[in-house]
Amino acid sequence: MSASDGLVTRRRAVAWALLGLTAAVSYAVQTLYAGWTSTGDIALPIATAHIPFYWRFALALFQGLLVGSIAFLGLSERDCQRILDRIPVLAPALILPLAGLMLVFP
Amino acid sequence: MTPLGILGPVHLVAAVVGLSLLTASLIRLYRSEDGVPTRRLASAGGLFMAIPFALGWAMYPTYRTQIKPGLLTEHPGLVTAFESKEHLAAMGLCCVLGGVGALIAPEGLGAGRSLLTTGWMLCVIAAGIGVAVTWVPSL
Repeated sequence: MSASDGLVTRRRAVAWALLGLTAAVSYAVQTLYAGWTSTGDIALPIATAHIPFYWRFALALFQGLLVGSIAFLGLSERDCQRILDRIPVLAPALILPLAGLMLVFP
Repeated sequence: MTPLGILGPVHLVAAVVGLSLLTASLIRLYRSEDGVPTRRLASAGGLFMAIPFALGWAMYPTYRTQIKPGLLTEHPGLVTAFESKEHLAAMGLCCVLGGVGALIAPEGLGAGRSLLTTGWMLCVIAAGIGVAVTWVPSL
C-alpha cells in the first residue's frame, strides 16, 4: 500500500467515525431539544399527523454525512491521527450522558 | 395475522442475531491488535442491527395507532420507555455504523472499538426496554 493509499484509508476511517459520532449526537440533541420545548404531554405523539422520529433520524444522518465528507476531503494526515486518537474517549464521553438524559427525559 | 404479528418476531430474531454478532466482534476486537480482519463480522452485526431498526420503522405507525393508545391508558410509563428505546436504538445504530467504518484502517482500531462498544451498550439497553415493553402488558 502506498503512502497516499494509506492516507486515503485513514481519511475514510475518520470520515466514518465522525459520521457515526455526529449523527448520534445530532439525533440526541434534536430529541432533547424537542422534549425541552414541547408541552410535556406524552399523548402528543399519538395526536400528531407525522412522525418526527423519521425526520430527526434523517436529519442526523445528513449532518453526519456532511461532517464525514468535509473530514474526508479536508483533513491532513496529522489531523486524521489526532482525531482517531481522541475518538475512543470522546465517543462515550459525549454519547453516554446524552443517552442517559434521554432515558430520564424521553 | 396483523403486520405487527408478522414483523414482530422477525424484528426480535434479527435483533438477537445482530446483538450476538456485535458481541462476538467486540470480543474479537478487544483480543486482537488489528481490527481490520474483524470488520466483516462487525459489518454483519451492524447489518443485522439495521434490519430490526428498519422493521421498527415499518411497524411504528401501526403501533402508534393500534397499541399505543391502550398502553398509554394502562401503562403510561411503558409508553415513555418505548420512546426511549427508539431513541437509544437510533443512536446505537449510528455508533455501530461509525465503528464499523472506522475499522477500515488499522489506525482506526481504538475509535472503532469505542464506537462499537458505545453502540452495543445502547442497543443492549434498547433491547432490554423492548423486552420489558412487550412482556409487562401481557402479565
